Amino acid sequence: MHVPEPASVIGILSLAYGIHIVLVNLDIALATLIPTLKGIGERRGDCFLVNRAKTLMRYYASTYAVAGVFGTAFTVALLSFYPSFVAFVGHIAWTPFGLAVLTIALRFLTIAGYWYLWDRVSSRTHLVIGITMAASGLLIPFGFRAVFALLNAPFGLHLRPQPYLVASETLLSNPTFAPLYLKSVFGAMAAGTLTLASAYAWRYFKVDESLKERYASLVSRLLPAGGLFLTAMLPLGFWYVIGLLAVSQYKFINIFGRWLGPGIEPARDYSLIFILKMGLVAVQIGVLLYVFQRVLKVGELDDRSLRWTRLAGPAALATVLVGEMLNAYSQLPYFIARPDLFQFMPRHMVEALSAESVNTLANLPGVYIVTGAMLAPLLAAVAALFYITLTEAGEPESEEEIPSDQEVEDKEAEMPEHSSD
Amino acid sequence: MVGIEIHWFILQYVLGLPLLAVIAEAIWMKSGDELWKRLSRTLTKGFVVVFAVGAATGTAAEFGLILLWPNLAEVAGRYIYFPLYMEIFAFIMECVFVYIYFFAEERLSRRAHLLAGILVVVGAWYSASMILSVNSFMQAPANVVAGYDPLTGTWAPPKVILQVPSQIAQALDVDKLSASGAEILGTQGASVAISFPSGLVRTLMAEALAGKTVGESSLVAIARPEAAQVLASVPLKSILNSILETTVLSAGVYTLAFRSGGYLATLIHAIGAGVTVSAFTVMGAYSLRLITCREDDQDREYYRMALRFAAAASLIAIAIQGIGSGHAMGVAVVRHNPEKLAAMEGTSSGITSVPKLIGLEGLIHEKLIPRLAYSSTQAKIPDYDAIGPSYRPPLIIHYMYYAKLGLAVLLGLTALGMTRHAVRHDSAPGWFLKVSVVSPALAHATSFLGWGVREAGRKPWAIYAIMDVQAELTANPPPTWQLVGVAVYLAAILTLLCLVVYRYLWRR
Repeated sequence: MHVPEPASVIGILSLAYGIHIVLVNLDIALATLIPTLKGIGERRGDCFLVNRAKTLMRYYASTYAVAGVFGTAFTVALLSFYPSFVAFVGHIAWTPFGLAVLTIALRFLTIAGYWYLWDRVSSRTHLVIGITMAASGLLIPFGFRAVFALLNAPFGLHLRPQPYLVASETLLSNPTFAPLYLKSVFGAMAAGTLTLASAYAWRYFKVDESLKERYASLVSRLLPAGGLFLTAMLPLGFWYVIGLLAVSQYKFINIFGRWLGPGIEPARDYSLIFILKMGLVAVQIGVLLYVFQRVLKVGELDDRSLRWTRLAGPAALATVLVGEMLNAYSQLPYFIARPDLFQFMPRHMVEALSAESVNTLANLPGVYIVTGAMLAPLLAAVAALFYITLTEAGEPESEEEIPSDQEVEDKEAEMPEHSSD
Repeated sequence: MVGIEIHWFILQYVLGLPLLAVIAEAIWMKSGDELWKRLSRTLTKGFVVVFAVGAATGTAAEFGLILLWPNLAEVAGRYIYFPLYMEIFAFIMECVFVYIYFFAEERLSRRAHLLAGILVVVGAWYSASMILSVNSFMQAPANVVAGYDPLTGTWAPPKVILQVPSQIAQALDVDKLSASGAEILGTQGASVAISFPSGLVRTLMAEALAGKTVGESSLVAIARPEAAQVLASVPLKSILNSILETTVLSAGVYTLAFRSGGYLATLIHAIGAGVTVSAFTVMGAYSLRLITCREDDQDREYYRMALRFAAAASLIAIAIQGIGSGHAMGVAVVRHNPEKLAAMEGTSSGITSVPKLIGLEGLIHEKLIPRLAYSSTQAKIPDYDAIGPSYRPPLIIHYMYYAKLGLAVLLGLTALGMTRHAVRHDSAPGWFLKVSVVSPALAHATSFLGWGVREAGRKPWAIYAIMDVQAELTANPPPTWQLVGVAVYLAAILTLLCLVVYRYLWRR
């Protein structure tokens, strides 16, 4: 009897993965932007920029932890619902996952170092830690996207004498790997930069007149950068689609569905999600074009431009979420989007690669009840955490609230915690 | 293993430091003495920094488990997934409240802040309770019966009680089953309870995970010929999965792991280890502060107060560990893992055991241990040499166990001496402060040895009586140099973390 994968299972996995991936994208960008902002601020002796970097770092430290927690949540949920699939990947993916894990460990250490050693080591040492933090952020998707590329089409996977993976073949031969990885990096930078621009545009309308110019200036730097990253995404997206067409037509057809014309029947039509994604991209491009023409017209970033800028960030983050879901759903019910190859695989492997082979011991009503009961208050607590980290001693309301370097030092020296512990 | 050990090294602070910070904060709220607030804040900073890297090493350990022991991950993920799944929520809770506790001190009322701290403690302990239930299942599954009789001193392999669906049971040959050492215990609904010898279960599990069919497996040896023929091309994994699913459903999907032998003792002992290591670390750190600070240092009073607190906490923790939970752990080993008890006590003619070395073998092995383990001096502890070779844990755990006991006694005396000095004389003599500075390393060594005895003592099993270590391994083991490289890398990360903590907490 054919039993499709339970929506509840896909829902739980989507929720954990969705929160994880959106925060990770934001964090990849923040890891790059924070040292940049601090470096520029220090070079110019601009306390405002240095303080912005520090406020962002506080936010980054907490969101990264939450992102990591939801990444773990996703892995454990996947193990609970699909233990055979996880074991299958475990048998073959030492190299790509191993690389990812090593960079994750480095990332956590550099985040801890960058945050806790702020003002406790020299600027140069701190910058080196910051650069390592940024670089590790850009490298983490390398290993993970290699596995995603493998799930698009199993380049490098050999079945005899037992299944094993030649990672170099996956990286070099799979036409979906390079665009997927580059899309991940550029997409994260675009989403993060535009989100930050939106956040500062939103802040612009909250602060005293004396600070408006500073926030507008930040937005004016971030928006073009975001625009550049977004522009790079367009050819990369096209490259990825071409790659899918070449090696994973099942997925390609499911993504474009009805729009491919008569005679082509998608197994599952996800074209509406694709349309939604394109709509969100259009919103970002629309905002950028509108702001651009306003700047040309009035010569500066005016209130109207900033008002519209607030839309770009949420649209960018939503694009990330929708794009990831589209990429994942479009290969269902298979974990490797090449059902035509299953005839060459042993039966137990085919079962392991099917999303329909859900662990019956985990697919129980009690599990879903517990999930709902536990997750709802915890998500509220996560929201409270973000609110606190965003607002607690964060952004200044007026020029007077920006402390000078000397004031910061004096204040910290007064605090008992700053003395030896 | 290095990744897991580093994770455990850090995790002890996640388990212990929040409790100490919350107690210090509660004392501050009651007394109004700002020094207690300062101590609480310092401890909070300590666990926030280790929490981040603890999460990272946890991720490394999790991926390491999946990549190096994928078959164990599959078995745990399929049959005892529930505590692992529930740990997700513990981890979220822990993470959120750690950061709220750290960041929101100014935003919350005193009581709300203390509550956030308590939730950090609850989150960390709740997380531990879930993970340790799985570990306890691996040590002593609820449906396994050990095969040792202390009155006669005879050993037999452990038995695994499985609920076999009637359809599959009908395919089995009763005579062949009996010949293999299995025993039919009775019917329960649509299944038959059968007690299987662990050797057979181990073989079937290994064959199933290797992807063998029924026809290629040892199941043929206990199946009726016509059934074996019909099922020949069916994956053994499907048959075994059906049996294990029925067994788990019958035992309780949500409760099975929590009913493992010695679970409660394990939980208390592991949390106690975290608190002990944390308390000794704080004691060692403030001893160092007192040694290195000048006589006229204005913070001296604060250091003394922190030292008194840490010494008292160390003494209480090590006492509970030794007298309470440690004994309960021993009782659990006696009851559920007689092979491990034999190795821990070194009852083999092949080695010179510590009791033999000190000339107290008769007293310890024939009187003290039987009395403690079985409440009778007439009982016998298992003879290691009488255990089947493929069921024996490595004898190295004997020396690890006795080294651990020795270190624990040393720690207890240190904590007792420091508490006595700190309470009576407000501080301790210089030489004793120096001993105290070394005590965190001793506490870690004790904890490491305890962990080593537990995990190495589980061998040759990955899951006692069900799955052996060979069966859990990846089909594609990475080359040794890569494993060594990863271990060195993780150790370097830990070293750098220590530097960060030193700079953050201790550098003036």
